[in-house]
Amino acid sequence: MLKIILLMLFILSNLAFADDYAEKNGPSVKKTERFAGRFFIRNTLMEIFGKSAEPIIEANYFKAGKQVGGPCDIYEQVYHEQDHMEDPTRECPGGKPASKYPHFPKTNILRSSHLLKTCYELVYKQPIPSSLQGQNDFIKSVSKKFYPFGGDEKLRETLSLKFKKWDLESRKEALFTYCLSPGWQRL
Amino acid sequence: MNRRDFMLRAFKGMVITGLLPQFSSCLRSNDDKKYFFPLDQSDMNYVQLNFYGGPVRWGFDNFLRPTESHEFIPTRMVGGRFKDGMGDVELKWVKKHGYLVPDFWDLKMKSGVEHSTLLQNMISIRGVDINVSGHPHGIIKTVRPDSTQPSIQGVISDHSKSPLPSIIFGSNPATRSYESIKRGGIKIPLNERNLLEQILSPFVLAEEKSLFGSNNDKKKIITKVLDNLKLVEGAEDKYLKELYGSLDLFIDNLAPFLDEYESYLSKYEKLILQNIRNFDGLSLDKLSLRTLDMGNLSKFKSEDEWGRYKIDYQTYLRGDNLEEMLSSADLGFVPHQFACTEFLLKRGLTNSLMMSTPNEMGSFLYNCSNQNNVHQKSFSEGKIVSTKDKFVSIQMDSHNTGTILQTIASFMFYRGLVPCLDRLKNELKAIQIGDNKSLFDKTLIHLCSEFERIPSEFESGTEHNHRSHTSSFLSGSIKKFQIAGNIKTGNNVYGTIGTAGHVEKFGRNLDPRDIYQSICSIMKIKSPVPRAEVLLDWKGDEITSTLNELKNVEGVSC
Repeated sequence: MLKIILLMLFILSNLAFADDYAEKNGPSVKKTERFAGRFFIRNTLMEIFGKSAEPIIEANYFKAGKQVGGPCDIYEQVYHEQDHMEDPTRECPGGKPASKYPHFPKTNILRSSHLLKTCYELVYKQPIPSSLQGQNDFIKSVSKKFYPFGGDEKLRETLSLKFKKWDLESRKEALFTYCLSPGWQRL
Repeated sequence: MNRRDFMLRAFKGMVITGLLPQFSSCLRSNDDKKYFFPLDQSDMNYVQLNFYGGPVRWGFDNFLRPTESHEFIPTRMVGGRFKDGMGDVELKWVKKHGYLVPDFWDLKMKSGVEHSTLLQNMISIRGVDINVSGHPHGIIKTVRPDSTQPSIQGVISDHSKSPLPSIIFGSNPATRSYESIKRGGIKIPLNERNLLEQILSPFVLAEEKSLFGSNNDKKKIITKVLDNLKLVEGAEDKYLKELYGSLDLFIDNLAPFLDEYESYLSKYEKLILQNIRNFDGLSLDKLSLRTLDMGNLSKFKSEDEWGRYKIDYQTYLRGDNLEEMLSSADLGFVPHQFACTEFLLKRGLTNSLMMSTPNEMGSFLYNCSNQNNVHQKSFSEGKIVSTKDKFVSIQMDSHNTGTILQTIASFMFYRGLVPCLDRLKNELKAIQIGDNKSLFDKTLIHLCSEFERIPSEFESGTEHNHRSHTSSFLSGSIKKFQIAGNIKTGNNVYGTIGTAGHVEKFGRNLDPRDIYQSICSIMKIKSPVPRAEVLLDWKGDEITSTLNELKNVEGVSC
């Protein structure tokens, strides 16, 4: 009987210790952010900034596949005739090694600098996209483009408070801020 | 003032206000030359030279007979020089810094400096048991022994304060094993001369042609935008920190840095060229090679007779053209990686690098001329034909490389590697960091591969010895040469080839996790690998081996 009591005390004390440990240290869960690869980034930015954005995105972001992620699928390259691809946008630029790029790149300083240069050129080397010009509520229009399902409330509020009037300079700054914001890039 | 004077003054004013930014930007670009500098040297630097392919190292840093009392059983193919004209090889020993080492270390570089000066700052751990077969699994165990945890470069990168994360050269299972929690690595393929441009070009802001614009203005705009994001995401957001970090690194002009890299690259290329064709110490002159008997194939008993002449699968060396074959050989992208490593470490841009092979299998020598040199034997056709391949590489994974070429190629490779290591060491030593320390004191260079090799009885190649791994470490904080780890003596068939022997202190063979743990200990970061032993540790300001076992224990190799 004594042995049973002692055994039960032992078990209960371990549980108490476990509870105490869990309370102090919390559940051990590792979380990593996943950022979209280059195909997603390119397609989204072209949708917002227009077809004229393609050379800028290509030169500053898309070609750095190894750093920014986004493997191509070599099975999507369909040729009807020799040297004639059915859909040239499916081409594996850079050849077969491009099919081995990471799907979900971790954020790294190279990716950040590629994106920074891309967004800067898209905003400051081109006119504001026609779909955003002449909009009364500029920030609302930009928000809809980058965050069609919401999630940017704090960003919108911050920029609305900062800019009392929407001249060209403030529009560009807001557009640049949205372009760099991480939310739309996260999967 | 009349209209003419007004216009003239206004014009002068415009010119001055327009030219001043240009003038100041010229001054700024001079400052840019001094851009990048060792930022925070509290971090140790870690440089891994990963010889992916598993080359023979018994003539280099797999020290099979550390003292005369260590039993050593010689065997075919295990050698560092030719013994006779037939192509038999042997290992000769010399005493250096208290240990017996292959006489390769007694040789001198072109500069007159002995190879053995490197040994002063080396600790070599031998007899590590990888215990998995195959190259990819083998190298993953070295680079990331616990698959639930980051790789060694990843964990260093995660803890690092350097602007750039780990930089990994090459593309093979070793480089693809990179895994971290916080910071992604930068992987640079080895496919063009200018490796540094691939790393730095993202930080170059496009040149402004306008007289009224400058990169300083650009940076102001970018800073304003990042400050907007800071209000939303918070100052500690990792993504935002990296955006600020990249802004800090933006430069106007890459040219001065590329010039610096190019000057380093030229020096390393020259070092290699000057040294790899110095065959002193190889006794190559003793070698008189037979050519294949064209008229009598029936005498040819395949690998039994011609194994040592093998270059690759079904390809054999025609000895009278050996010189031509070696005269065009080079070491591939070795100098490029050393040049980039020197630049990045001196500038404090990263504290973790991996130098590796360009693709799936490393080679000792690249671009060996093969024209009319090599006969491809075709038994079924009953004739000998010449190969059509103009150039051939001598692979580190020498399954089909016979004694002759393997000995020569590995000798040439290490002959080229040692001067590069010596230069890197001296360059880092020349940079003083506070507390009477140099950058070399703050750097740990790790030489490793998957495993050692097992010689074939026909001398036609070698197999994997996944029970033998050697890791050698170089650092300015290592003050004396040490060898540690137990190996088996082997038997009369395979000889002493470095197979792991039981370590009494731990009650088991050494494991790659022990190497990983040791590196974390030296880097002063918490190792995520549990229950592994520390083989290297700090003793004050000095790195020493904590493993005091160095035995050749009786036992069969494999």
